[in-house]
Amino acid sequence: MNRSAIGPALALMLFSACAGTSSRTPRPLDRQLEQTNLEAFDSVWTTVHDKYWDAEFDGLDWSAVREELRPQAADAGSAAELRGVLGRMLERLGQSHFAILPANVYADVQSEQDHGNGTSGLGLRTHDGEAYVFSVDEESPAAEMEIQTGWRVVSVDGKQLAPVIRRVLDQYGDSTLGPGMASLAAETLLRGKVGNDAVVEFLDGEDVSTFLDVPRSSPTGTTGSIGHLGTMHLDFKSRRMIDVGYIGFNVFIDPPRLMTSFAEAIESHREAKGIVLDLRGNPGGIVGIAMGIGGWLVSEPNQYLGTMSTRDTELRFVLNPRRGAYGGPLAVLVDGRSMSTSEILAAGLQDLGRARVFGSRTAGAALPSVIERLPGGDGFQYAFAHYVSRDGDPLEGRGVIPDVEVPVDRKALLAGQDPVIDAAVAWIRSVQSPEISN
Amino acid sequence: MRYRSLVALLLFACLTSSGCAGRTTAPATTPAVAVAPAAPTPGRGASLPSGAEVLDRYIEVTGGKASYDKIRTRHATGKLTFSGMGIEGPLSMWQSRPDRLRLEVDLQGLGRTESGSDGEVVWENNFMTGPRVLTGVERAIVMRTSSLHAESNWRDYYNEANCVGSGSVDDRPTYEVVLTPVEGKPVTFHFDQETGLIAKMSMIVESPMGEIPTETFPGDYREVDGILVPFRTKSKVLTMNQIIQFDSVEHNGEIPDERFALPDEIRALTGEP
Repeated sequence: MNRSAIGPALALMLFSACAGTSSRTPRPLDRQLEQTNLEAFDSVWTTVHDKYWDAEFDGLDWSAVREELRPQAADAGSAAELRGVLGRMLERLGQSHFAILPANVYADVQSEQDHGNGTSGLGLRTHDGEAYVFSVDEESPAAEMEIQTGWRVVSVDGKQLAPVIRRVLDQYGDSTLGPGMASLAAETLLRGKVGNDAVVEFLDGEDVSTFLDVPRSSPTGTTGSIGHLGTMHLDFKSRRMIDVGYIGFNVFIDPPRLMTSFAEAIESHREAKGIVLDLRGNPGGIVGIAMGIGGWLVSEPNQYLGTMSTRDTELRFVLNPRRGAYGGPLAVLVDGRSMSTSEILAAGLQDLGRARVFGSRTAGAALPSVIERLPGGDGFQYAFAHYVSRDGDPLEGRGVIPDVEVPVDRKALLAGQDPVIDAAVAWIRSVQSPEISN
Repeated sequence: MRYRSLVALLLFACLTSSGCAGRTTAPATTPAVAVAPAAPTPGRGASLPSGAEVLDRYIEVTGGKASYDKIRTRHATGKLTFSGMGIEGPLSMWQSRPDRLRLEVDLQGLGRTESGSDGEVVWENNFMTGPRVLTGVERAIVMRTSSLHAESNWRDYYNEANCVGSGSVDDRPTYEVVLTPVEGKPVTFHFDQETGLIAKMSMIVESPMGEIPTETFPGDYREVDGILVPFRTKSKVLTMNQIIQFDSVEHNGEIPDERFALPDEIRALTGEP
């Protein structure tokens, strides 16, 4: 190629580059990115436009927001830039839990259906950016391996947990969802296909490093299937702690089994001095089950847990008092992994003055919300209804604040204690002359 | 699917179940084949027929009052589906003159709901929230919608019927008739101007949870014993879409009284022995 040929070629290239910038005629790759950006932007904007519970947007001109920000979305040069634009759009709503989750965070918090339903039997919680064993399922291989509560979990299958936890906490910032989602992300790494071991590095009570092959087994409890949602596991526990009844379950699903088990548990604890209802780690589920359970715990009619509002209507989560409802002292246990229906039940019983709540602040994720995947792989979380508790307080972004705060204490966990249960039982035993309904 | 998706979906499944599906109304015995001549479509500024005229024509095109009066009992079986969610289950309904009802729905993975009326006590036994007796407006709505003669004897159930305008459903012109019941909020019926059939019903279901707006679209009309019965009913309840598809509707079979007897849990609430 001679010099005379190079000159026009360079000129043409420079012209093309300038033209692409100044006239906004994108190259094919730019056009593809622009199209993906706009699809994501339109998806988020339209979803909010169609489904946000306040059709007036509290005075916000949602169409003007679109006009202002859509060009910025089109020009975003990366997924991070696009997230910034989408985030600014959602900030205008002034509501928590409308979020764009980066693809890697979205993957971190995916459920068992994406990772496999094999479980280690270990429940994790985070504290100061580290993950600790909070519970060990008695029927799991982990229990046979004598893994202890309070052990720190350093890595799973070679993946360090601290960076995962930090990333999730950074993403959620000051949101009440942060601690719960961080421990969920850590626990998610322990999930996998049944039969595949997880290679886990622990620091035991002496901070000695130990690598263990922890088998992933089928979840304990019973299985139930609901429509397209697939198979889920209900793990219901009821036992007597000398003079106090304990009831706990992992999720509000499978109403026939759960409601039957709950009714039987109430009957078996009828003469107990009080009942502990453990909703820690319970991510929620079918709200009608909370209404049904509430009906076993109140005796007066016309009571409700709270109110949900959509664009079309306002619905009270009413309780239908059952014959033989339990009237003795009731302690409800919650933590940062108590979400949604768990929060609705705990807050409702607390507002009604029916229960005393123990533990740590809940996730503040009471609204019915979904996380959808956007073009490009990021996740979009949005709520489509508003919820306020019986006393008129929104739970979203605030959570249920326990009457008695009992933080996770590694020392107690290492000693095999459960300080939250201990506090609840102590309170029940301190209550004088409990009224017990027959 | 993310977990909270589950929460959201099932929240509404539950609301629908406890608020409405448990009291799924008997399908409106909708008019079918154009037995009566089509009413002229009013042009701009043309006067509307009266509400009574539209309703009486509906009775006529669906078989006529004489045919309705011959119906003593009805037994229907089919399926209730929450479309898009994969949740469905068998549905069975028994009705007997004048206003006895038994409805059973067993939704896969969610449980069984029964409801009914023995002509006096209207009740529901929901798999989650338990048994209860319906009173007031709630009771009145069930009594009205479960009656075999609510359409043919509409004057017994509604104080007023006013044709308030014309509109369209699925691009077909309709008359909008607002019926004011003896108890409860007005119900708007949309009658197909050509066939005289009900194309849509809009009503507010009043429940302890609150007022729930619902829209119902009857379809798949089939003649059974001289009466046109909608074998498919689509309903929109909040954001949920539910479909009732009957596979069998039988009239005038013997239904034992025990079928409408109050269950033990309900008798315990009413104090009946």
